[in-house]
Amino acid sequence: MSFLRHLRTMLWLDLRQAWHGRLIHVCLGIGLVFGLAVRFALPAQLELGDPPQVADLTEDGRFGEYFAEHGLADAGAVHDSLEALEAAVAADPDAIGLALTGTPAAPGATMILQGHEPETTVVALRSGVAGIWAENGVSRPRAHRLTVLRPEQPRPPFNLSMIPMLLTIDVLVVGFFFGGVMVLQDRSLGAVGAYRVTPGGTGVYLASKILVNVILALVYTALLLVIAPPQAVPLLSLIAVVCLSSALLTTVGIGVAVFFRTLSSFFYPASLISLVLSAAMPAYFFPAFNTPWIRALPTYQAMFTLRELLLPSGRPSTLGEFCLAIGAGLAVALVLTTLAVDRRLLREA
Amino acid sequence: MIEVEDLTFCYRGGAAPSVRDVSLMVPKGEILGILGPSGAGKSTLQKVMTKLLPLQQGSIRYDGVSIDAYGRELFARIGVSFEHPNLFPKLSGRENLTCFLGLYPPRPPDQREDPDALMDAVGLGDAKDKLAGDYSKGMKQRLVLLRSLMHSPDILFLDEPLSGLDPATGERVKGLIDARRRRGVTVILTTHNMTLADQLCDRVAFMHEGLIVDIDSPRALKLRAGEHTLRVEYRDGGSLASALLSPSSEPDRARLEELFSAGLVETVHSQEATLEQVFIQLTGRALR
Repeated sequence: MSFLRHLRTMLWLDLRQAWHGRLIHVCLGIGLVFGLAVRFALPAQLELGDPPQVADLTEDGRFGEYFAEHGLADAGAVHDSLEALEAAVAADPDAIGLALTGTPAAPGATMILQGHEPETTVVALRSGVAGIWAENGVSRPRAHRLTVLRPEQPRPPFNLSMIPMLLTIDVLVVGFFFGGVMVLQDRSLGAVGAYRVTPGGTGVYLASKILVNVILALVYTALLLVIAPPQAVPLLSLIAVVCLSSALLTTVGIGVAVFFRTLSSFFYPASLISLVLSAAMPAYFFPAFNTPWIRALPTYQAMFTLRELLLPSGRPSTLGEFCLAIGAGLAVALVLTTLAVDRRLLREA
Repeated sequence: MIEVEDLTFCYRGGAAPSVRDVSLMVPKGEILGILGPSGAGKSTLQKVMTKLLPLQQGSIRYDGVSIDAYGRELFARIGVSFEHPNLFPKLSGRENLTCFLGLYPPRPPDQREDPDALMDAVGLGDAKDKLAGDYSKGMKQRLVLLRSLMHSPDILFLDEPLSGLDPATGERVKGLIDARRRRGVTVILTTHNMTLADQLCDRVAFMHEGLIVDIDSPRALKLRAGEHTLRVEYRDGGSLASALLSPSSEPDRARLEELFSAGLVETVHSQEATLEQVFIQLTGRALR
């Protein structure tokens, strides 16, 4: 009973401190900006960028009509010689060039790249060339074939597909950073010194900070999802994922922060850790970017679990595995952080 | 009753112990002053006694119960006030007093401290709703002291309670501490302020290089270690002269008799040694 009474006291105090320290304002501000961006600024469908620069250098000039049908001629992307094509590609650092050569009996193509394009682009371009030839008289099998595993599932609009990533960013910022900032603010005010000589213990101190950040993460999530509703909102599962992720990252943030005396000394190591945790984000856009260590990051697991919850693809749920993995991580982090807080914060050196 | 026996504490990596073989006994309702220069071990002694530093060697007992037997509930019995104010600047003065109250065991209404009355008592009555961040240093100091009293502790550890206070406010704070003593609260007071120690403390312990070099009532210390002198003002021709004469010195006594016989004496004041002088005599160095 006394634990709950102590927790209530500290929770109220920490919430007030979070308010006065503008942490709540920042959280609401980020939620509002991201929500509005998803709802109004990001497009539902992503338009492709500039068309490729092309040249029809086949003997019978069979692609002239094809290029015109696809709007390439109107876009000024059709060139009549390899030299002109190279010059056009060289003039635009984002352009790629494609010259189609030969005959249907001996189809050929020359691709002109800047050199910085990822391998996936090259592979896609090769397949594209085979496809173009196939559409224009070459009766070979198509170089690629598209199979959708769950065609009945609606494809999520691009803007809504950003929500899982934005929720993960929030859990990272609000959890990891705010957790550390709260501890270091307490330290700089001397509030830690004052708390040390009260009957409140390490558990209460830690639990209160975690709860404040979990509440902030839930408020942010609610704000974002109200402004930009996704395809599904399974409330209990969503709350479980947000609470567990936020609790884990807050605990880690506090555990790291107790080893520093000031916010400025915490800033650089915290930025480095945030960078590592953010390494999960590129995997959202480039699925190949998922090495084992990236898949092990809590941010990676949270992001893809949230995606499956909010934008269901029909795959079997991984919620159970997520809760188990993050729960185990949280248990370990709690033990280590409790020791660190007790030794480095609530006792003298 | 607080009993400290053979207490020794050495910081990790420290060349010598900061507190060495300290033994003292403080009965309930006594104010014990711990005096000493910076680095003498006063704060370390207080931190070990308040469990902020671990007990390495020796023993500490509160009412016969070893400090090792206490968990954090010890802090429900003791109140600790710091020299450097550690307040929540965005909370009002009153809120700073009550914000931690929920961490202490509830007390019956008649045993609860009234924050408003306490603030009135130390001259903070007009600043109850003002943000603590806008308080002056002296106001913050008083607020920190009041916070240590809010849960009605049996034992108070006060570190420089008059730091930054003007004499009139200092008198109010002394009155507040004295009132707690009359209620049976034991006070351990760490200070450089000899006047405060002299006026308020039942006993004073002098600390030097981690050791308690002497402990007694201020009067006894001064009588024991100090030199007693008389300041005599007398007429010397047309002007007023003064002399410090020691009653224990034969020539001084003769001079005093001579002045009295001649009817030249205007005033006589007894001159006691100060605690500072006693400390210098005991340790060979000043308190600050």
